[in-house]
Amino acid sequence: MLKISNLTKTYAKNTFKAVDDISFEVGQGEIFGFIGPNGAGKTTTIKCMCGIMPFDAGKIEIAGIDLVTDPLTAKRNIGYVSDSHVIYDKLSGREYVNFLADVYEVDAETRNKRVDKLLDLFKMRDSYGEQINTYSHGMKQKISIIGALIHAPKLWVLDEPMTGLDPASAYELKQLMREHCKAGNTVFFSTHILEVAEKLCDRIAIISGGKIVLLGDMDEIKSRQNDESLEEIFLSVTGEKREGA
Amino acid sequence: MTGLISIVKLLVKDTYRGGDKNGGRVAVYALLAVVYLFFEFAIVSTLVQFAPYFRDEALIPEYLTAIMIFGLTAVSTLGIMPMLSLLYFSKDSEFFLSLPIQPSKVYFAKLITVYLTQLVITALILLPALFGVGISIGLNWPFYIVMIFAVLLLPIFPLMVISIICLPLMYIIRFFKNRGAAASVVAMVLFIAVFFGYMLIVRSTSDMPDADAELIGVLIGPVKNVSKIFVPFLAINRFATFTKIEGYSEAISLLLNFFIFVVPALLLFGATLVISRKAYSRAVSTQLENAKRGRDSSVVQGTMSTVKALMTREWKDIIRTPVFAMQCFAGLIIMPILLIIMGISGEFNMLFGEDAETIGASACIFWLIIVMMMQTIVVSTNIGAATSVSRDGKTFYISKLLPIPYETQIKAKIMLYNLIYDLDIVLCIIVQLIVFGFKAWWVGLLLLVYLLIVNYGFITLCILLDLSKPKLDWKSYREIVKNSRNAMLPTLIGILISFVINGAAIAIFIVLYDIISVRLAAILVLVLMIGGALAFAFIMRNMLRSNVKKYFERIEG
Repeated sequence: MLKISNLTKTYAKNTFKAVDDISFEVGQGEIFGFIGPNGAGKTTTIKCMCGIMPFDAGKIEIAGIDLVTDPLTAKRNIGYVSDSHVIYDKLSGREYVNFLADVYEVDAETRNKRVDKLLDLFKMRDSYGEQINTYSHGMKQKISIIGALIHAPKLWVLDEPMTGLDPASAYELKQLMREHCKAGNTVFFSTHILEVAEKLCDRIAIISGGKIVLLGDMDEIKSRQNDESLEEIFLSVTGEKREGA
Repeated sequence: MTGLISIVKLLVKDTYRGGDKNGGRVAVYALLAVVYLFFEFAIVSTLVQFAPYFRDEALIPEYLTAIMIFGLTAVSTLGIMPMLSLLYFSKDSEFFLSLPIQPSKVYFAKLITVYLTQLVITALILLPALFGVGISIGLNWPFYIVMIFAVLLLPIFPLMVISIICLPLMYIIRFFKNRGAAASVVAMVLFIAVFFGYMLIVRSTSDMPDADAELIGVLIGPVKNVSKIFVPFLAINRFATFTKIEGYSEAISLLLNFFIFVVPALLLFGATLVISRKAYSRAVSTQLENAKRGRDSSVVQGTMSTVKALMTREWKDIIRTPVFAMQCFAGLIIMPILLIIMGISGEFNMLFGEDAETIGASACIFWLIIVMMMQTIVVSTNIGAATSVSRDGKTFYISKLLPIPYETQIKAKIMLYNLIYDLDIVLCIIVQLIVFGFKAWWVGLLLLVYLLIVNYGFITLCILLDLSKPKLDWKSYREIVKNSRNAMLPTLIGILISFVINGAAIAIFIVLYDIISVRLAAILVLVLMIGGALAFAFIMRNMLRSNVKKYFERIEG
C-alpha cells in the first residue's frame, strides 16, 4: 500500500538532512506506527508522503502509484489528518466535510451515510453546523478526522492523532482505525504515546535523527528485545536511556 | 490608580507597538507622516489666507468654530475604527476577566486609551490650524493656552457621537453574525458621506467668484449658521478671543463663555460614560458567551463540482473574514455609489447632446477619465486576488494534499474573482449610462469589453505574483492585507497601468479627433485599448500557465 524508497529531504540549503535515505513498506490491512523523538523527521516524512512537501531524493508509491509521476491519482488514496489540525476555520463543520467530499467526488448518498456514522461516533452532531473557529481543540481534531475519512481512503495518515482527544474519543478513534484496517485499508500514524502504539500497531518504525533505527513486526521486535516494553526499546534505540532510569 | 495606569500602558503598547519586523510599520508611519504634513500644510495655508477677512468682519470666533467642527468631523471619521476595535470588539475580555482586576477598571482603562487616541488625532488636526489662524491675525498668548485647553476637552464630542452610534451597531453585528462587518459598513458609509459632502461643496462653489473677498461674502452665511448650532464651541472661541456677549460686561462674558463650553462638555462626558459602558458590557458578554444561533445540524447535503466547491470555499473564507471582505469589496461597493453621487450632483447631460449618433469630444474624454477611475478603484484594488494564495496561510498544505491539479485550483480562483469584479464592472457601466445620460451606448459597450479583458489580465497577474512568493506564515490578517508586498505591489502596478493606458488613450484621442472625426477617433482609440488589453491578458495567462506547477511545487506547505 505504501512504499518509501531511499527518501531524503534536506533543509537550510542542503546543510541539514531532516530525513536521510529512509526506506520501508506498509502492507494492506496494517496499522503502522511511526515513532520518534522530537525533531526526528516524523512530520517531514509524513508531509513528503502526502505530497505536501517536495523531497530531494527517493521514491514514494501509494497503492503502487508513484507520487511524483502521478500525484493526483496517488493523493486520491490518501486521507490525511495533520498534527496541528489547521483547517478552514471560517467554514462550518458541514461545509468543510462537504467541500472535501466534493473534491474527492463522493456522491451524496455515500457521504451522508458516512457522515451520519462518524458524527454519532464522535458526538459532533450538535456542532456540525457551527463554524470551526468556535470548536475546541478536540472538536477540530474530530472534524479533521471526519474530513479525512469521507472518501474512505485506502491509506489513512495521521500525525499525532491522540493529542487533545478525550478518553472516549481516543477509544473510538482506535476502534475506527482497527475497522479501517479490517476493511482492507491501511493506517499510518505517528505518535508519542508508546502505550497506544504498543497496543494498536501491527508494525512500527522508529526514526531518530532522520534515520530509521528500528523497523518490524511489534511482536517480533519485543521478543528480539527480551520482551522489554516499547518504551524501553524506544529509549535504548534512540540513545535516550539514562543509567538508573 | 496604579493598576489603571498599568492597563492603559499595556493597551497603548499593544495597539501601537510594531511586531518583530518593525521595518514595515516604521515605513507606514513615515508615509502617514508625510501625507499628514502635506495635507495639514495645505489646509492651514488656506485657512490662514481667509483669516484676515473674517477678522475684518468681526467673525473670528465663528470662523474658529467652523474650523473646529470640520476638524472634529475628521476626528470622528478617523477615530471610529480605533474606538470600535479597542473598546467594543477586542478579544481580550477573557484575559482581563481572569485577572484580579475589577472589570470597571478595565473599562475605564480602555476608555482612557481611546480618549488619548482621539486627543492625539484632534491635536494633530486642529492645533496647527487654530494656531496658524491665531498667528496670522496677531492674537495674544492667552488664545493659545485656551486652545490647548479646548483641544483637551474637544474629543468628548466625537466620543459621544461614536458611543451613540455603537448601540445600534451591536444589533447590526448580530445580524451580520460578525463584528468586523459592522465596522466595515460604517467605514464605507462614512467615506461615501464625505465624498457626497465634497461633491455638494464643489457643486455649490462652481459659480464662485474669483476674488477672495467676494468668496468670503459667500462663506460668511454658512459659517455663521454652523457656529450657531455648536454653541459650546463658539463659546470657547469667544472666551479665547475675549469677545463680549451682547448685553454683558467683559468679565461676565468671559465667565459665561467658559461655562457654556465646560459644563456641556462634562455633561456629555458623563452621558458618554453611561452609554459606552452599556455598549461595552454588551460586547463583552456577547464575546464571552460566544452566542450561537440555532443552526441547522442536518447532514443531508447536495454535491457540487470540484471547481464550484473550490470557488465556494474561497468565497466563504473572504466574506466571513471582515478584514478581507472590506479590502476585497470596498471598491466594488463604493464605485457604483460614487458614480450615482457624481451623476446626481454634477451636470453631465450637457456633454452628450441629444443625438445618439453625435457624441462630443468632451464626452469621450470624460468617459475615458471615468474608466480610469474605475480601473483604479475597482480593478486595481483587487486585494482578494492579490492575496488569494497567501490567505491560505497554514492551511495551504490542503491545496497540495488534494487530488486536484494545481491549474484547476488556480482556475477556480480566477473564475471567482472574475465573476465578482465583472459583475461590478457591468453594474458600473449600466449606472453610467443611466445616471450620466450617455446616448452613445456603443462607446459604453466597447469600454465594457476593454474593462472585462483588462480585469481578467490583472486578476491573472495578481495571482501569479502571489503564487510566486506567497506569505503563508502570517499570524494576523493585517499582515497580509496591509503591510504586504503581495497586496501593495499589484495595486501600484494596476494604478500605473490604468494611468498609462487611459492617459495615452486620452492623449491619442485629443490628437486624432481634430484630424479625423470624433466618432472615428473614439473607435480607433477604443480598438487600440481593447487590443492592448487582449495582449496583456494573453501574456499574463501564458505566464501563469507555464509557472503554476513550478510555483506550487516549490512552496512547502
